[in-house]
This record gives sequence, C-alpha cells and structure tokens, in this order.
Amino acid sequence: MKLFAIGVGGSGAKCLEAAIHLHTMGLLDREGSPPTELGVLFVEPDRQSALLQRAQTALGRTQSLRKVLDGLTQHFCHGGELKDYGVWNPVESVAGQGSLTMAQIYTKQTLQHKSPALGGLMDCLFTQEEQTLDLREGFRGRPPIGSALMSAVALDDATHAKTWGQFLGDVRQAAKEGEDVRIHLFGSVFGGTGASGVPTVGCLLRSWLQKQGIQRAPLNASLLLPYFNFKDHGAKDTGLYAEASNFQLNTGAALQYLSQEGNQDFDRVYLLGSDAKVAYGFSIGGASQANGAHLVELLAVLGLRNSLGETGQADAAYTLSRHNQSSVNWSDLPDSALTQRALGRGARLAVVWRNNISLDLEAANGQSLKRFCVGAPWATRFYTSSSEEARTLGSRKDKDARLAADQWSEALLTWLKQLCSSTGGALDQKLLNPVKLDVQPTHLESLGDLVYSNDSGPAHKWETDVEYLKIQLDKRRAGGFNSQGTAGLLDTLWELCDQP
Amino acid sequence: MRNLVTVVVFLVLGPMWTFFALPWLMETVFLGVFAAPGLQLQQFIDEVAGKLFVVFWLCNVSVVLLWVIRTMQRRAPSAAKVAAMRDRWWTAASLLLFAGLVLSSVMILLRFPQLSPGGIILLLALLLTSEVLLFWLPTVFASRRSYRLAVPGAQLFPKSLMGG
Repeated sequence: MKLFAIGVGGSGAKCLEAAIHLHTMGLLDREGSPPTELGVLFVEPDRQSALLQRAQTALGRTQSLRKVLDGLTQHFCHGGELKDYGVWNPVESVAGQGSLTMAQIYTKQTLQHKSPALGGLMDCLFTQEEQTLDLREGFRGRPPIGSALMSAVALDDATHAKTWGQFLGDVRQAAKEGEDVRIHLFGSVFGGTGASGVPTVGCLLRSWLQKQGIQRAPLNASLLLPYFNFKDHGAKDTGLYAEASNFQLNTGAALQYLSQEGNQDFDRVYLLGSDAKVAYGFSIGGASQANGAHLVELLAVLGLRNSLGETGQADAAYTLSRHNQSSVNWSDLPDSALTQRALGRGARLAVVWRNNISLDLEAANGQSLKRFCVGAPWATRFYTSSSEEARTLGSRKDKDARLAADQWSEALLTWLKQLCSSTGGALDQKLLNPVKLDVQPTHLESLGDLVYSNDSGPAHKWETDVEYLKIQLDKRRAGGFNSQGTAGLLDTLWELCDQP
Repeated sequence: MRNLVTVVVFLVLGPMWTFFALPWLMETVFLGVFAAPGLQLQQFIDEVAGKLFVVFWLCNVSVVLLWVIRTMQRRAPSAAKVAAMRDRWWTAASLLLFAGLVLSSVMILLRFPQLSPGGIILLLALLLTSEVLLFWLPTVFASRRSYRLAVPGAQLFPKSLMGG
C-alpha cells in the first residue's frame, strides 16, 4: 500500500510528525500485507515554523535510521519506504523569495483603476491590515487570506515540480501500477493555514484525480477542531495574529463549508478535538511557536490508520469519545490493544536504547571488544572480534547506526513526552509515564511503570528490568536471518520490546 | 534458579574432593614425592588433608557464597558496573590463594620442616588445584547470567551452561 500524507499548517505538520513515528512503529501497516510506504508533503507558508522544523527533524532522523539499517534488519524499519516530498510554500510558489501581500496578488491598484467596484469589494472582504500583511509569515489565523492565495494555484504547474510534481507523479504511477493508494490530509480548521488549506488543497486534489481518471485513490482528511488555547494574547503593536476567541468562529465556518462542499472532495473525514484545552504560549508563528505534541494529533493519525481498513458503510458516521471525563487511557484509543502494544513497544525501545544500551556502547568507545564483553556478554552475540573492529567495537557503519538510533530515539522520546504531558485542563493522562521518557545521562535500570496498563502489570517485576532484556539479548539464538552489528542489536531489541 | 542448583552441586562436589579424592591422591599417587627423611608421612597426610585443606575448602565455600549472593542481589544496569566485578573476582581469588599460602607456610615451618622442595611444590600445586575446583569453577557456572564473563576464562565454556 502507498500512503500519501499531506500536513497543512502547523497542526498538519504535527500530525505528520505523529504519522512518521507511528509508521516506524508499524501502526500504519495492514496485517498480512507488505509494509506500508509513506510519503509526506508539508504545506506551510511560514518557513520559520518551529512545528514544521520539528516534524522535519523527526522525518530526517527517521530517514537516516532507515538508511543505515537498510537491508540489515528483519523486523525493525524493514521495508515500507518513508519518502519526503518536501515543503510546499504556497506564498513562495507565487511570489518567490520576495514579499507578498494580498494587495499584490490581486493587483489592487490596477483593480481600483480598471474596476473600482471590484476594488471596493476587496476592501469589504479584507481589512487594510490583511491586505498589506506579509504572507511569508503565514496567514495569522485568517483562513480567507490562505484560501484566496491557494485557490489560485494549479498543483501540476511546473513551478511546483519538486513538491507537487513528484507527489502527483508518484500517485499517478502507483495508481497506474494497480497499487492500493490512499491520500490523507491533516490540518486544523480553526487557525489560518489549515482552515484555508485543507478544503482548498482537497478540492484541487479531487479535481486533479478526476482529470487523471484515477478512481481508486480514496482522498481522506483528519481535521483538527479546537484543542488548545493561548495563555496570553498579542500586544497592540503585534499586528495581525491568531486569536483563540476566533477559533470557534473559524471552526464553524470551516465545518459549514465542508458540509456543503467537502462531501464531494473527501471520501472520509475524521473530526478530532478536545474539550480539555491545553494552553500554549502565545506566538504569531515562526520559531517561537513551539507547541508540544498533543494526543489529538495521535488520534488524527489513528484516523488515517482506520482509513486503511476496509471501506465502511457509505454515509455512515461513527463517534468516539473517552470513557472517563477526568482521564484518558489506552481503552479510549481506537484499536486500543494494538495501539498500546505498538506505542509501548516504541517507547520501550527508545528508552532502553537511549538510556542504557547506547550509553554502554558509548562508554566502550576505544575499548577492545574482548574487554567490553566482560561487562556486556550480550555484545558477543552481535559484534565479532575481527580485524580493526576488535579494537574499536564495531565498524564505521555500526557507529553511524548507533548515532542514528540515538537521534531517532531522542526525537521519539521528545514526541512521546509532549504527547503525555500536554493533555490540557484537569485531564489525567494514563498512557505512558512522562518521567520515564526523559533522556538521561545515567543508566536506566527498570522499564517498570513506563507503560500504564489497565491490567495488574507484568507477571514478574524482574521482567521489566533492563538487565532482563540484556540477558534475553545474550540468550537469543540467531535465526535464519543473521542479524549482526548495531543493526542486529536494534532489530533484536525491537523484538524483545514487544510485550503483547 | 539454575545458578542456585549449580551452587548446591558444587557444595556437594567440594567435600568429595576435599575429604576423599585429595587424601586418596596424597596417599597413593603422590606418596613418593612427599616422602622425606624424618617426615612422619601418615601424620603429614592427616594434618594436611584433614586440617589445611578443610580450612581452605571452608574459605572457598564462604567466598563463593559471598560472590553468588553479591551477583544475585546486585542489578547490572551498565556494562561498566558488571566489568568492575572482574577486579573484585581477582581480589577474592588472590586473597584466597594468599590465605592458602600463609596456612601452608605456617604448617610446614612449624610442623613439617623436613618436607622436600618437591613436596612443597606439589603441596602448592594441590592448593592451586583446589582453588580452581572450589572457587573458579563454581563462580564460572553459578554467577548470574549478566556476570557470566566477569569470571576470567568463562568464555572457554559454552554459554548454554552458564547460570540463569
């Protein structure tokens, strides 16, 4: 299966960050099918967006890890390519690197001169501040600005060859080859970029699919309803900015539009929101907008996962809400057992790798393998004492794999920690223990209490010790696939961290 | 569990070596080596096998039990902490050997000064053999799995034989 995911705006980028992590954990695979290939495209006018950069960091680190493990593992990061289609900046695609305002897009001066009535209409629709806003900084919570800009774009235009060109080319190619293709959009409908971009891009994509005669490529969307507020608001000289008080208004308008027009564009729509709003620091966008990951974004990606299943009843609506008003736990998530298993497995691997095994390997740098194995008998299973490797523990490739795994683990732990820390309000989170998700300079001893469980916990407390995992690593016999080096170590750990 | 069974096995095998095999070897195979003018051979064998090696066996059993308890109680979160146990093993082994040498020297000087140089060397060799059988082998097989390579020479044995 080939999955094409588009994240529009800051929340869309955060959803793609979640999708990248869930893809690595195998949650986007279908049972009995080959691993799903995931391609991601960001739509963001604000190049400085911290949310975009964070998602790109997660993407880059995951790709680096997959690259160093390519062909060397049997389970972890095996198959299921992760492709980056880059960032499509709708503003730059129209204006290049220069500044761009609404007044410039619609050549207001010419408009006023040639057709004063149209010029007057523009003044009615957009305030002077909106008309002169530099759009390179995003749409500042004003969906009409984004809609006006993006609807004027032809996706298959040569100017977008690096982003949309490749993206649409791959969709066309996959559909032509009879592959199972899914396109999924993510974005919020209460801000500026997502609210304007998701319906507009959805409409443009639907037109393109029809033009290409591609029938079997479902176009779905996960739309985020208000789930956060701002702690403060802008000062008088801040200029235009997204206001939390406008979120409901924007949401109402977007949902009204989607109920009237979106039915034709999207096959399935997932609406996610939260009554317990998390309060983020105020920001007009750019590097200062460092909102943490949120559970709603995870749910948005689980919507994507749901859309991979068999097509449900047409025109049916399903609702999902948490069981307990004051807390959220695993049973509140769709496919709860599977989701818990996959996220718990990923968390265990990242924690045990970054806070223990990697520290051992780092301390072993410069030691001979023989000496290192005195304290780490499990290493004899993965590292061989041949040639230069005996002096430095592992080859250059092993070291690269360790660094890549470190960086990937840190990205995953940061995401999981944010996910479990920013539920908002008085909502109690009972998924993962945030304290255990910190990157530590000292060796972690136990994985107990990392994953909150609905059950009474593992049968033996001893089994949650990292030492137990290391003993299992040592005992593990090589199967048909001879996994060696750091790649083999990661692959085996991934297997051991699976606790159904 | 497996390492506890191993400890019990060695606790049974140790006395068999100390109380039966060792005296028998001294009385038959090595009798000629120990023989020296003026030396009461039977008294020598009774005292060496019945006192010196029994005390040495008790020392070894105590240290093995301490080692096993220590490795069982102590979590092994980092490779460096496990590796540090090798130094402790060497310390324990050296102290045991030193105790054996002191006991032997005192016994030879005070009780059997007539013992020939060949006899002294053989006595020391038997002491070393006892340490191998009563300390090294039990620690190889009865250490917890995480510490299986902390004992020098443990890599000579298949890991499937090592402790749990």
